[in-house]
Amino acid sequence: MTFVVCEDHGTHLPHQESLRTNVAGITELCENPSAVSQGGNTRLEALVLHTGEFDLGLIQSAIRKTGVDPLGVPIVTLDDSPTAQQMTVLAAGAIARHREFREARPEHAKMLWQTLTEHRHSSSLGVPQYIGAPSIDPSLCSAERGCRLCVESCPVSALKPVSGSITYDVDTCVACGICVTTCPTGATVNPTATEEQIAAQIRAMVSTAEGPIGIEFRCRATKPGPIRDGWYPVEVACTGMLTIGWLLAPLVLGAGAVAAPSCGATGCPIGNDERVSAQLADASSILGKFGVSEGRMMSNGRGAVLEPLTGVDGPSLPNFKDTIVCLTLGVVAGIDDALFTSVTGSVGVVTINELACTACEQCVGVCPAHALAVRRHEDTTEISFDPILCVGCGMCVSTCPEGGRGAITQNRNFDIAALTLGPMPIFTASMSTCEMCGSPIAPRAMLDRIHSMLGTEHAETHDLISRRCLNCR
Amino acid sequence: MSELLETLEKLARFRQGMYRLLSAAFLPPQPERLVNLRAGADMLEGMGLVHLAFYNEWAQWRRALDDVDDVIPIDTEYVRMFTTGIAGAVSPPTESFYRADPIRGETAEVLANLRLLYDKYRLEPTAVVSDTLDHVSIQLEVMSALCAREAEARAEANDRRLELTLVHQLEFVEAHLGVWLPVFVNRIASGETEPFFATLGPATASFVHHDAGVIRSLCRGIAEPEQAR
Repeated sequence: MTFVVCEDHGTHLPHQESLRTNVAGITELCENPSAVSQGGNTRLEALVLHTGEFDLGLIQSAIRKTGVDPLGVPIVTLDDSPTAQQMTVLAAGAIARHREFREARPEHAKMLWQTLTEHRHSSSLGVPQYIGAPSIDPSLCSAERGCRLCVESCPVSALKPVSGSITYDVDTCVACGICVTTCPTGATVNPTATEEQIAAQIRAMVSTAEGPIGIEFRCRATKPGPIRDGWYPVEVACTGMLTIGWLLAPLVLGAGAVAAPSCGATGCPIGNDERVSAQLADASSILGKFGVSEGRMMSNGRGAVLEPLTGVDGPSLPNFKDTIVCLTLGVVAGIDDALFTSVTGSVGVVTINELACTACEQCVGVCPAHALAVRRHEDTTEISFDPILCVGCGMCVSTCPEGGRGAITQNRNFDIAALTLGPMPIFTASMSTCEMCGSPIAPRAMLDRIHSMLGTEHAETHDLISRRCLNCR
Repeated sequence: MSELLETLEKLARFRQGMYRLLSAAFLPPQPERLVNLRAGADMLEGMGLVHLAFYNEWAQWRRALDDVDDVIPIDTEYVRMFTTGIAGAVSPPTESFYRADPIRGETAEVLANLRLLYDKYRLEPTAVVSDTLDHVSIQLEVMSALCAREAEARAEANDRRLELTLVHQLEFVEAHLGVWLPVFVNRIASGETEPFFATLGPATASFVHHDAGVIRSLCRGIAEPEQAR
């Protein structure tokens, strides 16, 4: 395994013994990308290059030639000269991220080859560049249930619902990753920036650093700044993709602070600045509810980094879902019972009004995250709710035919105590059974509702449908 | 600078060659054909194939191609996979198998649609597999011919012909080849087969997927100047 560094501008090499991998320094690597294979016959894991001095297309070609998918090779870009220790931390993170890279299929390589659109272009076309793009796994997608969360969140309208599935226009897509972090089922994936990769990168940086570190999530398009005061960059497609879970996760993984700066003076080119600010403010507020200093959540990586939270080496973090991260943060902060509202979080607490619900199960059928489920017993039907899965989309409320009577409500609350309980029954309806064959007819609440709608005028009809099943009428 | 990156005409020639080579790779293996495939592969690699995202899939097939020292096992495997087999072909290389219900007469519909398209493009399939208009080899050959027309149109600076051939390329990839090829390739991958065929499927699918993006970009290139007028 190999970590290759462009040695120009006095760049220090990382400590090879800490990384347990081959480290190669090559002068003028930025200008001469084919030199990446000079590291020997080992497989390339990550690269360090200098901002503005390399052609990404040529670098990707050189990596490809070594038999490695360039989309899986993190490129650390510098515009200063970090110390050897800082380089070691950067390298550890990049290598860990590379090792969590699984596979990119052809649809994950978004081609950036601008010269092709120039009519009858006569000069050189230049080398195409590729960035990681998302894809949707139809077997996991909840579009058939009516879920449109990715469609609604896409800032460039690249996703469209078409007869029970979501189509994705690769040319319009800017690969910002918002659809990936919005998807409630994990159907939308960009294999170049998965939660597993980011978690591995942060863990490796934390364990390699000599003191507390801050994680600065950095947009792919942002020019890197100098590494100082213990702040280290973690590249994401766009900071707009960062949810509360993503923003708080580094604190659970051992970082002392987190930052998500906007894209410089002109702002985000796809208009995600407000989204980032709102998520940061919400994440900050959640930290306050847990009694954790809100100074750990910042809009840019400046100033001294606080020591990591105590107890972060205890719980594991299976994913970056808002509910999971908040629950884990609660464990770290020693809080097992708290209730607070979130403005932006993908979270919800669903309650059912027993006097209005008819147990028609439409809410269960549309829940994209499978947070609502139904279980049938001999003479009852039970609707259960798992708050850890709920993303607060509100589809259950908007679909409910008894919504006008307040049959179902949803609050955007983090209920830490409830999150630990798993799926709990929130409504149990008794079933009417057929007087002839004994098979279930319908929930009694539904029959009562039909009765109230039909009135006394159709008493005979109601009497029939409530006493006998379809087969015995 | 690599040849394929020099001009759009050379890029079109490169794409013509890629389609042509892959078309030949899906024909029954013969010693002479394997020699030609290797020579063609060398030429395409020399043009700068490494700069394109499907290179890794290509490289795996290339290794498998170079490793073939006896044509008989892969010829036998070709029969099992793509022609008769014992209980029929494992992965029939025809569009109608994946997109038509023969009981409802849809096979004829697919073939008739293709015949109409080939007529529209003024193309006649070559004799080797001419009995199956929807064979993968024929469809790749059609794309090769359309790319050749694009290269000629660019050389002649014939805008009208260029526009027409790009529209045809996009139409054919989006309505036919690009639709069923991934399903066909998955079917090849689902059964154990010789490395030559196991790697040929992903290499072809990856190239065609990439090329669909190239064609869309090229079509935008001809649409944008008109919009500006």
